[in-house]
Amino acid sequence: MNRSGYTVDALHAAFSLLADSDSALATSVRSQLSTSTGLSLPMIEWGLRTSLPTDQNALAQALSQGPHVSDRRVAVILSGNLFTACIRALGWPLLLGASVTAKAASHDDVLPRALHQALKQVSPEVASRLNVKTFDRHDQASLRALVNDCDVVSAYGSDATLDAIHTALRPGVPLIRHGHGVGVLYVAANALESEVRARHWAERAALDIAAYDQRGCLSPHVVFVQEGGGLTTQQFADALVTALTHIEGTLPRGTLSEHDLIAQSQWRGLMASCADLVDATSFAVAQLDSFPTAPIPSFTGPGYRNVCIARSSDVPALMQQLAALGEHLKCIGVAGDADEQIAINHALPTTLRPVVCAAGKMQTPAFDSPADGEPPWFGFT
Amino acid sequence: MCSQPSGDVVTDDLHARAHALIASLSDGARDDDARDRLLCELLSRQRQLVAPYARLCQHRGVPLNAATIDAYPAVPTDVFRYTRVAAHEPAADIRVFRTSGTTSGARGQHHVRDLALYDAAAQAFAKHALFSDVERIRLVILAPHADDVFDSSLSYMLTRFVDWFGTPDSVFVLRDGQLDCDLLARTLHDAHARQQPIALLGTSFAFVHAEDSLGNERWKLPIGSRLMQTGGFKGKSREVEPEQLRAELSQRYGITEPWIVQEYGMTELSSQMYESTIVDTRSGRKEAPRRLIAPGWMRVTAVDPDTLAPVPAGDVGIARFDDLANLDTVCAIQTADRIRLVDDGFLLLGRAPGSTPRGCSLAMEEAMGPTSP
Repeated sequence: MNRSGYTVDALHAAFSLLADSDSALATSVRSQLSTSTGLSLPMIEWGLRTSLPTDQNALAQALSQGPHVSDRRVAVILSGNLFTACIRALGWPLLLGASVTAKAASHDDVLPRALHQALKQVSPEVASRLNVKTFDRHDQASLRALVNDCDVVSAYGSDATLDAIHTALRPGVPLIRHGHGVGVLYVAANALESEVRARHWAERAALDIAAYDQRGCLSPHVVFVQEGGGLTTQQFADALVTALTHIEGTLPRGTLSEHDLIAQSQWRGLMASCADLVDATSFAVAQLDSFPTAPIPSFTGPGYRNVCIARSSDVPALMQQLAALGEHLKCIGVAGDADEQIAINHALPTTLRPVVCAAGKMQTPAFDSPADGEPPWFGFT
Repeated sequence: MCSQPSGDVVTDDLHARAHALIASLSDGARDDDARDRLLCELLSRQRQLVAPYARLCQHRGVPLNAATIDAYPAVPTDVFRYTRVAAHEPAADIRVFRTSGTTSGARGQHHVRDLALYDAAAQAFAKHALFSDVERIRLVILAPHADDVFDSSLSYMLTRFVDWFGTPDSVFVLRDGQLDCDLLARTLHDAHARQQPIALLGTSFAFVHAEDSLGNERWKLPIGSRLMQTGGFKGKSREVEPEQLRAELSQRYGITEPWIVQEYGMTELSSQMYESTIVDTRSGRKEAPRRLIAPGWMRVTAVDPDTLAPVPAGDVGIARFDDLANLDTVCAIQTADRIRLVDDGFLLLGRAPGSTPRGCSLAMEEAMGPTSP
């Protein structure tokens, strides 16, 4: 077996070990994640199940698309919002043969360390190419030591975080930026032709909103509803409320920190003051009278399944409404016929490079799907 | 029990009664029943006049004849950032105070139709908490003059302080956005030489800038001098823990710590709160713990961030302020600041730590960047 095939086998085995909820390692990981992430156990299970690439052929296929970079030392700086983000962030450079030093989020390094542990069990050789470190994000000395001992840095986080990392780099070391972002949902008029269709798409939208408690960079914060469907925006809002209520039964929302509760309270108060708000313990849906023409950003929520609904007349109007998001728009989930996704892709201006996908799939991108408009191996060569 | 007023503005009658109550409580007295009755009437009236508040009340299911203040919700400070909260038409604005900028650039706006009540409240409680021992004192102000920053409520208040409490040689040492350290040092030397007590008033970050600029110079200001600092650092200076800053300021200016007080105010409010130490010292309660005290026409409640219901006594909650002087907007304001009620005041605990990082999924407000107010 060649070296690449060996890596595929090792990663596949490690991912499978983590996905197998009966293994001792996986059981321990799930328990730790419930503390470190605040997510509910079903949500953690869902995240692992939908993110761990356990199809060996798919991994091999993915590898065949990318370059081999066995001589590269990659530093990966992870953010703490989405615990499964490390799967792609670490999996790809390892798959391509690189040596990886990962800086995990200081409050949640569970899955990167579990991946390392799983790799040790199945392949000490591949595990030796992964080194996981945890230190405070304000620890500049450790950051400099990390990024000065690599050939390329792949970093996730806010613009401020990425700028701080950039200033710590020695000359000539490239930085692959994965900046902060958000997603939106677009409900085309044809998704509202009947109550059955509306209910179907509302359920898909609810999954996108509920996934990871709306803390991912693909998570939708606004649902744009195209006017002119058979059902009204209000009827879709009602269907979404029903769907979010139901999903609480299968994927309950996790615990909110005091800070997040305060942010939620401010947002819900704002929405109650200037929109039609339905607020429940685990979610809130605010229907705006009109989406602000000027970017009035706080109409979007603090996450944790707090979402607003705005009207949009058509795809060109949607593009205008989204223009201000620029590179931070990471994903558009589309409810409606497949043609609508094509129309949106065609209408995207060059300043917007989101992934466009069907509603219900916003939070489950394939292992080899593009990110930030680029293939997952972008920047490693 | 609230009466149900009518008409299309906050009536002169309510205005006069608020003014009278503030006047009657200006010496630190309290009449919480009278305060709450009037607050209730005002909130009922403001519900009729302020559209966002009417919507908030409707959403919370507040009955039209709600008879207790607790039935009325408080307006979150964020609402002031994104919609007009006023009991009068825009044409009647005589002043708009704005909060300092945030990441998104959206600034809270406090629309004022009549500054008389603001003035009455600010003057009365500053007299009680800061200046009860003097008629006038030389003010040295580390903040811009109101003419330079027309929309700053702090600058407005400090400029009015000069009218109410200042001697003719009072001076603003922050000009064109810069701290004039030479002027500050000269003024301090002069005060020391003449043994003239002074009051140093300004933002915390201005005092930190002064700390960073004044080198090794130290003063022993005359007894009766005092210092009032306000606000956080807002990224405008290095951050210093309150106790440490207070100690540094005490050493720098030779003012004993009880005479160094923190002011706590918000653009969305019309009244201010102060640390208790000057009042305690003057009333022989030197051992009383340092705490913030509110004027008798304000009601301070610590509420649960989830339910917005009052938390048990002594527990940490987020601050709800009901300010009788907030006649032109809404009296009940919900903040995001954590407090704990103690004795006759409260401790300000700052913003909640342990925010769950959203990493790449920052709120869209951050993603969308600065906007026009």
